Amino acid sequence: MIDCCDFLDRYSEFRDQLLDAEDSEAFERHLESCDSCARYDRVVSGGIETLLRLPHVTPSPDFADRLGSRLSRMDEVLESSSTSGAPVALVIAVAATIGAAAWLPALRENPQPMRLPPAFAHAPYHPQLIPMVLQPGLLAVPAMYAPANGSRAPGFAAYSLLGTTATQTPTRVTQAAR
Amino acid sequence: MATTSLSARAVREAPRPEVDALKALDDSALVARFLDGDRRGFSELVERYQTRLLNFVYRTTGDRERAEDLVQETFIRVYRHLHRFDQTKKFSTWIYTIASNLAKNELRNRSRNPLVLFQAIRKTWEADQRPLEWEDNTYRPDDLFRKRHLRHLVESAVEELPEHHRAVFVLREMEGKTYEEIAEITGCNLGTVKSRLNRARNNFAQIIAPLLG
Ligand SMILES: [Zn+2]
Repeated sequence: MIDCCDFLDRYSEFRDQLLDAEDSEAFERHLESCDSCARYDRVVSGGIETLLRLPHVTPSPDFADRLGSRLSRMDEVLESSSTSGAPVALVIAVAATIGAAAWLPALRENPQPMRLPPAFAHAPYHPQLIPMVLQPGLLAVPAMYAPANGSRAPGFAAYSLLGTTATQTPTRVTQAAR
Repeated sequence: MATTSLSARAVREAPRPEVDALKALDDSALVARFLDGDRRGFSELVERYQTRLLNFVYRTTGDRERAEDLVQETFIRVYRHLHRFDQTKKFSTWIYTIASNLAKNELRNRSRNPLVLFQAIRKTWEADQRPLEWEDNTYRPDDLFRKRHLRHLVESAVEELPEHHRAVFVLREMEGKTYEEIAEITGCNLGTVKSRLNRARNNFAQIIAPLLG
C-alpha cells in the first residue's frame, strides 16, 4: 500500500517507468483509488503535452553564414600563425597572457586596500563647540555639555554612542583640546 | 586534429544527393568523416543540432538572442575540440554538455547582479526545502479561457523553475534525455537528477494546475 506522500515522492520514477513491477502496480492501484493523485498525474501529463506543442524557436536565417564566417576566420588565424613560423601553442599562450593581464584586476579576490599618505589638519578654532567622534562607539563632547560625573579627561567627557558611559578614556582628547 | 578549412558555404549547403547520403549517417559516422577531412560531416552536425540546441539553451536561459550566440559558441568549441572527443561516447551528450555549461555560465554571469543573485538563491532554497505538495484545486476554467492562457502559463511555469531544476526538466521533458545522460550533461549524480526532476515536475504542476482539469 502506498499513500499520497509516497506517490508524490516517487512520482517521477513511476512516470518514467523506473519502478519494479510490484511498486508500479501499487502506484497504479493508488491512482485508481485517489482522485487527488489522479489529477496530479493528469496535470503533469497535460502540461507537458502542451509544452511539447509550443512552437519551436528556429535559428536566424543567417545563422549558418555567421558560423561559417567565424570558423573560416578561426582557420585563417591558425593557418597564418602556423605558416608564419609561430607555433599555434605560442600564439594561444600569448593571447592567454594578454587576456589574463587585462582581467587580472577584476579576478583578484582580495584586492589590497589603497594606502593614502597621512592627512594633517589644524584643530578647530573653538573645539569645545564641536562634538568629535574619537573612536568607534565613543563620542566626546565638551565638558560643559556633559554631566559632571561622566568626565574622563580634562575638558571632555566620553560617552558611548549607545548612551552607556564609556570605561575607556580617549587618550588624544587632551591634545585636541587647547 | 582536423586541419580542414570550413567555409561559410560548407556550413550552409552541399549538393543534394550528398546531403541525403550524409543525413543517413549517424552522429559518430559524421564525426569520423570530419576528422578524416570531409568538412561536410561538420555541416551536417550543425544542421542536425542547431535547432535542438537553440531550443534547449533558450528554455534554459529564457533569452532568445543570447541563446543563439551560445549555440554558435557551442559549435565553435565542437569544431576546435572534436579531435579530442572520445568517440566511444555519445556525441549528442557531449554537445549538450558544452551547451549546458555555456548556459550555466551565462546564468552565473547574470546572477552577479546582487538582486538577481538574491532572488535565485531564494527560489532555489524554497524549491529544495519545501515538502512536495499537491492540493486538488477544484477550479475549472471554461474552455476558451483555458486555451488562451494555458500555453502562456506553461511557458512561464518553465521559466519560474529554479535554474538547476529547469535544466533537468527541459533535458528530460523536451529533449527526451535519459537520467544517465542528464547526469552526465549536468555533472550531477543520478540521485540528484531524480530528486530535481521530481521537484521540478511538482512545481510545474502546481503552477499550471488552475488551468488544467
Ligand atoms: Zn493520493
